[in-house]
Amino acid sequence: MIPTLITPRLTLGTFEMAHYEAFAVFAASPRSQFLGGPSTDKREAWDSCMIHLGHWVARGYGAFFATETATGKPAGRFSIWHPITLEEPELSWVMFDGFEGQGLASEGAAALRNWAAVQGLPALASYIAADNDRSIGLARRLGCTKEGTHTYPSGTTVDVWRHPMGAA
Amino acid sequence: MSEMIHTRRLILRRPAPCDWEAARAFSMSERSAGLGGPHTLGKSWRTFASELGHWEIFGYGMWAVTLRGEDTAIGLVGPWTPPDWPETEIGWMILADDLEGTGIATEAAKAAITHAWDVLKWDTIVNYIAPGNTRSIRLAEKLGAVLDPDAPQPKPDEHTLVYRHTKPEAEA
Repeated sequence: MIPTLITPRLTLGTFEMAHYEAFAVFAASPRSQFLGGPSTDKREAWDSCMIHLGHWVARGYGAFFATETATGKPAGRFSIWHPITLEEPELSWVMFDGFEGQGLASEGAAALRNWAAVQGLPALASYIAADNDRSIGLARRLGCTKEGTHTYPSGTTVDVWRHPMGAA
Repeated sequence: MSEMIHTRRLILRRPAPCDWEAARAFSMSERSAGLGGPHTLGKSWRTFASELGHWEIFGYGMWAVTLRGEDTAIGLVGPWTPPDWPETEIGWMILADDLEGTGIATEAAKAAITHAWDVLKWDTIVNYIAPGNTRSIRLAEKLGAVLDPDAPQPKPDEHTLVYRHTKPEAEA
């Protein structure tokens, strides 16, 4: 069901169990703090994988699982995340351990943004905590503009960064 | 892989987005207390997405139980196999609140168990049930499962009852 998107260094596409293992390592690390982590409970990482795959069935779009093309290693997850509690689809990204800091996140996010435009989705938002400097830097490089805030049911408030329309 | 099971009164089919309303109503009500509910809207949606996602990953999962001639999901029953669990489970959620005494849940669970033995070729089937979930315990016992106090536990931080089914002898 998940299409394949090719970027210079990444293949974005279907889920493999290796993505779950790599995501669980990420989720247990401090870098997961902006996704509600860290958590060493692998069941939570597994639930996240199932939810992101079921999301495709429910919405017709969802998460792409990234593999480093040259090595075949699981590299990250790029998602158009649109649970029932969000009014619009959100573009989010996770780079697994060892794949951050190389420009891979912007590579994958740009590819997914273009795909979303082809699907007829509106200009996407990314919800980013005000102190998540790395993701804010990436949003700026992707040409996003800050346009307000979003408050989750939990009470946490994040900034809404609006993406330009992808190159459909 | 078969994606439908027919029984005398029921059709078990792969769950679909159209089952969301039945799943939501159950999950957000007191009827989900045996599964830690009632849950928020967000948690209910994520749980439902998990049901769909399990099928995407494995090609099998919990079946949506429908009455023949109707397509409304009245239950979810079937295989549930997160990789961190020690054994292969058949789980169930009775979504409709008026099935008590009808034997529908038993009929659905029996079909799912038979499918797991015969089609999925499972070697073992357990039901993981929270202590105090008397309705599920009754169903497990009605299905012939026996409490196995020595079985490995699926959740590190809470005690779960493990009911074990006996694999039928292969027919000659």
